[in-house]
Amino acid sequence: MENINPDNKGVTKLMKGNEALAEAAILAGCDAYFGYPITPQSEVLEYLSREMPQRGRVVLQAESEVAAINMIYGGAGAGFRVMTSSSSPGISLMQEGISYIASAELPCLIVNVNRAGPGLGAIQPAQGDYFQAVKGGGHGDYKLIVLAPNSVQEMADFVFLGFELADKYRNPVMILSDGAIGQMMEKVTFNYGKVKKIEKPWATVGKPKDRERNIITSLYIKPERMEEHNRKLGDKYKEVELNEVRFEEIQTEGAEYLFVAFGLSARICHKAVNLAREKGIKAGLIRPITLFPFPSKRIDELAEKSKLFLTVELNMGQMVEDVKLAVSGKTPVEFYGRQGGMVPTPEEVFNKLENLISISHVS
Amino acid sequence: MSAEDTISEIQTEELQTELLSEEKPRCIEEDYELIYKKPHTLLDVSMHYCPGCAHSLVHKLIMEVVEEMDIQDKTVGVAPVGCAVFAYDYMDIDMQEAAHGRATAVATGIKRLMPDKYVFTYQGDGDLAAIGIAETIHSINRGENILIVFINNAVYGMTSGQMAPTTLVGMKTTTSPYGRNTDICGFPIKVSELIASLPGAFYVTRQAVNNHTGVRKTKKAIQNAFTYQKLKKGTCFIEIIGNCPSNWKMTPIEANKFIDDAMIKTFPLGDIKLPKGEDLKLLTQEKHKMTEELIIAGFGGQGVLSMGMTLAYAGMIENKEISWMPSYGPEMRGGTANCIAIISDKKISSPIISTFDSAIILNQPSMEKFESKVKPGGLLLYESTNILKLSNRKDIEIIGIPAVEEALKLESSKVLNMIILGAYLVRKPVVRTESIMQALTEVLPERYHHMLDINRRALEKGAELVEKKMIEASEVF
Ligand SMILES: Cc1ncc(C[n+]2csc(CCOP(=O)(O)OP(=O)(O)O)c2C)c(N)n1
Repeated sequence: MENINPDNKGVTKLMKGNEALAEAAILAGCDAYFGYPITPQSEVLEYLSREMPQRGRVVLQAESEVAAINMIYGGAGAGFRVMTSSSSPGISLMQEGISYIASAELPCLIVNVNRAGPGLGAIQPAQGDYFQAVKGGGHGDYKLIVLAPNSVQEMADFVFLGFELADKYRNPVMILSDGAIGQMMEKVTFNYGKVKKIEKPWATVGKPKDRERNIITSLYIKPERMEEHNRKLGDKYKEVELNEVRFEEIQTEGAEYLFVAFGLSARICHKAVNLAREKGIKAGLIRPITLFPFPSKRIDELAEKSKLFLTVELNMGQMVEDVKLAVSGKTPVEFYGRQGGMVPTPEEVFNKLENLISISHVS
Repeated sequence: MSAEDTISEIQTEELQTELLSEEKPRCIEEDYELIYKKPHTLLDVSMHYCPGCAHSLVHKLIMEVVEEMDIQDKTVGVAPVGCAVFAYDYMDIDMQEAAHGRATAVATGIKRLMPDKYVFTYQGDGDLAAIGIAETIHSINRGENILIVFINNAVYGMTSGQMAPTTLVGMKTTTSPYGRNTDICGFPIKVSELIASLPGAFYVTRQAVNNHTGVRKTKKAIQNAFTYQKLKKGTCFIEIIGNCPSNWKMTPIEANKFIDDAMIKTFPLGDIKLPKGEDLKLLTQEKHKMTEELIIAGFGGQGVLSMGMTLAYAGMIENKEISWMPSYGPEMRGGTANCIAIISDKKISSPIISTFDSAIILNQPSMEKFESKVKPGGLLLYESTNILKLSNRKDIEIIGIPAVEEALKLESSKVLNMIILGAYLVRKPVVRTESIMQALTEVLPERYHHMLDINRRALEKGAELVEKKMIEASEVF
């Protein structure tokens, strides 16, 4: 259907996360990419600047993230498959545009390769943008669908998934990655079927005589109309919560102690689960793949049978609030985090768990 | 349903019964000729703009152009944040509403993905020159092939009259209650002059809509800009000095006078950057059809025959089909000479024809004879120092060039015909100037080869004159 790059279709390659994501965008029929350089995601813009023009696709280095996200607005409003990427400070600049895009219900893909903050911060991996990604970020009442890859393979896969969800719900989708997943190299297989693109009869492509004009807007000047729109969006988010929750479980069967972690921290916790099991501690891991919609129901189920949750994040404790909400007091929820671009070792995380277990036994 | 809605519904019902009971009104069109109506691209709704506001007028001008060019299905507009945020409620075209200041970035996204559509933004001075100045400059610097319509009313209208980047020195607004103080707030930004220096700016003009001449010039500028967009040569930027009677605290009449008395002192009207002749040629080329049937007529000695022959030679050099036919027989008497030149991409049928796509007329008798022979929509190019009585046809393009006068300035009356030919080729680029030069080398005897240079200059002069004419024409509309 689309020009699937014959070179990489079904091929296994060793690639950086950022590059795999960029290649997947090409395979997924991304019509245009607009972006602005920032570490640790500049490889995306560089890769696409090299590869997109050869395929007759649009790639443009914008003058700022503010401009880039508004180019996305224009392109998505015209019905095209469009994507941008950045890292934390750049994503902050995009928030106004993202809010407009969410309200105007424009499908597009926004990638945040999270670095440490606040402010200019540090360029090392972090997960401090969880709240920003999941709770809105920009002004007003809206949700992004947020996907959290934890491998180079998922950096690629979630581009396909992201575009499809965006089109299906007419909603912006964010891939929330981090500096480590973006920069590290792993094996990636590009094994995708046909690119599915749907009709977008609402797009602004020029009004023929026989249809009403199409308008892309987020302005509802009458409060009644605005409320109606808010509720319509709310209904859509409910539907997303019903249909699109994705998570992964590792050794949760009969587990007494459960790690909750996403992205890079989930990889670390996976190893910590192994360390625990070697020592006879019944540990497991639940990894939210969609941060919105959050796997609250599953976490709640697991809470029935477990003694303790340990949420591990590369921030001061953000997702832990959602875990607590899901568990709603049934089981203690603890937090362990590193910040500023520092990443915990599996041993460090395991020690924390061991510690918590001993305290809870003493008391 | 609110109380207000109910009342208005009852009122309309009453009105309808009233109308029905009355005698059926006579159709106005039977008695009067309809000479003015709104374009069908403008929706039949009342606008939210204040009385006398320029926005509604400019909306109408843009929609007239979209209707006249029949491009409703190819046009996408971008509305700003500002009073014109509701533009999409009035313009019957596909539109996107951008965040404050970001219209040109949104337009970039649209145009890059649909390069063959007509894309325009419509922005106020706060939107374009304050919060969106980066997007403005960079979009133009990239030469995005869009039209930016910039309404400069020197205040923030929508938020009730705060100071804008274009507020005049000393002008009072709600946030410059003592008058704009340049020590604190700097000077009004002259955006048109600023962006005209960018190579990506293709056409930059500043107009005002406070009187009918201004309205017509503004419309012409909008027509030009939409036409130029086809060329994909860069950004067209039309600054329109608007008004804001409500926030200027003036009546509409006072506001329009204030434009003349104050606004245009800081923001002088006129074209700031015009397309190059070379680029305009592309436009005429686009329109140009495959066969050109031309008559050249004038006195013997004006170079009538050699002009036609040079053109034919140049056509041959470019592998085109050509024919050149001098007049002979009774017409030769009385000192007039003429020839017919046909240049085509197809095989030419009859070399003798009686109506023409273009006529180049160098004397009065020929004007009288051939003026009526130009096909509707055709071109009549004449020598304006010789010919005083003109054709009054409205269905053809008529351009006069003072070639005799210009030839004297070049100190050679012989090159009169090359000045005319240079002018002709701008409107009808049937062959390239280089081919004409090559043809001249072959047509001119060796002993005249020192004249090649002056012939080239004559061709260039003619081109320059007609380009100037085209620009002037665009001003008078
Ligand atoms: C980010 C942001 N800041 C401020 C505003 C408030 N605001 C709305 S319109 C406007 C100024 C509009 O003035 P101008 O662009 O000159 O257009 P006009 O209303 O005069 O036509 C401002 C500041 C906004 N909507 N968004």
